[in-house]
Amino acid sequence: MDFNQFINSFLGQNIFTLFFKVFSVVFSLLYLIYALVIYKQTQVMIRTLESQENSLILLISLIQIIIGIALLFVSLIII
Amino acid sequence: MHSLKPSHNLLHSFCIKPSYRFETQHTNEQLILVLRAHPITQLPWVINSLILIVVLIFLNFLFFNFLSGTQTLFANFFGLAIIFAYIWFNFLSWFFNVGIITNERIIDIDFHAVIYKEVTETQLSKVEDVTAKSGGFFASVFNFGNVFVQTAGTEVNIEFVNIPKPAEVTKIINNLVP
Repeated sequence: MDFNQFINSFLGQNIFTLFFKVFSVVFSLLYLIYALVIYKQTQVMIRTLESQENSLILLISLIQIIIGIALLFVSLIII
Repeated sequence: MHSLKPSHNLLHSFCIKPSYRFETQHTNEQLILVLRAHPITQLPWVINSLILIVVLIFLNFLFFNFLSGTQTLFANFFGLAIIFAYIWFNFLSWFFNVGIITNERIIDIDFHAVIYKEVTETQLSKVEDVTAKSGGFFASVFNFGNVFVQTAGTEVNIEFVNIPKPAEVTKIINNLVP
């Protein structure tokens, strides 16, 4: 039994699929952390310079967090 | 300065008397100019984003037989999210790195890599010398350059980089200096 077969029998899935899932979860988590930092910093930015577009800018930063959550959800549940 | 009419030119990179407010604004302080980098200087990241989209499409053909349906879907979703993050990061860097000229002060707000904030300001009465520098093919064609504000004594100097109409900005500052 080689390593690949061992992993397959141990985890019940292809080693590549497992690698892809781990990669997806880790990078989705990193993306989510990044999106949170950007959102927090956007709040600091709009406090520094207040303009009419601020609510739209904050909304787009919030959408980035939603994308991060969606990525994490897809990587954990679907893949 | 009363002759200046409120306007937003060059994709909000040259705003005369805009309806903005900033954090340290005094009660009777009025904004005369808000400056951002000329839009043409933002072209590299716009082109990079387009290249990244093309690369993503190309990768789809390359790994089409290698990945399953859900994996392909996730890879595309993740790729688009990264490109969106790249675009948004650069837009925020451009939008909030501003130079502000008021009837009292000159303020330079810089966000280095979005997370580091640096605010430099000087009183108009402390301004000694204003220099406009513009060089190169694109700077000449699109009329952008740097404006360097030198101040008296230990006050910090201020530099606005790649702003539109540097000569006009110099003229406005010189008119405001008492």
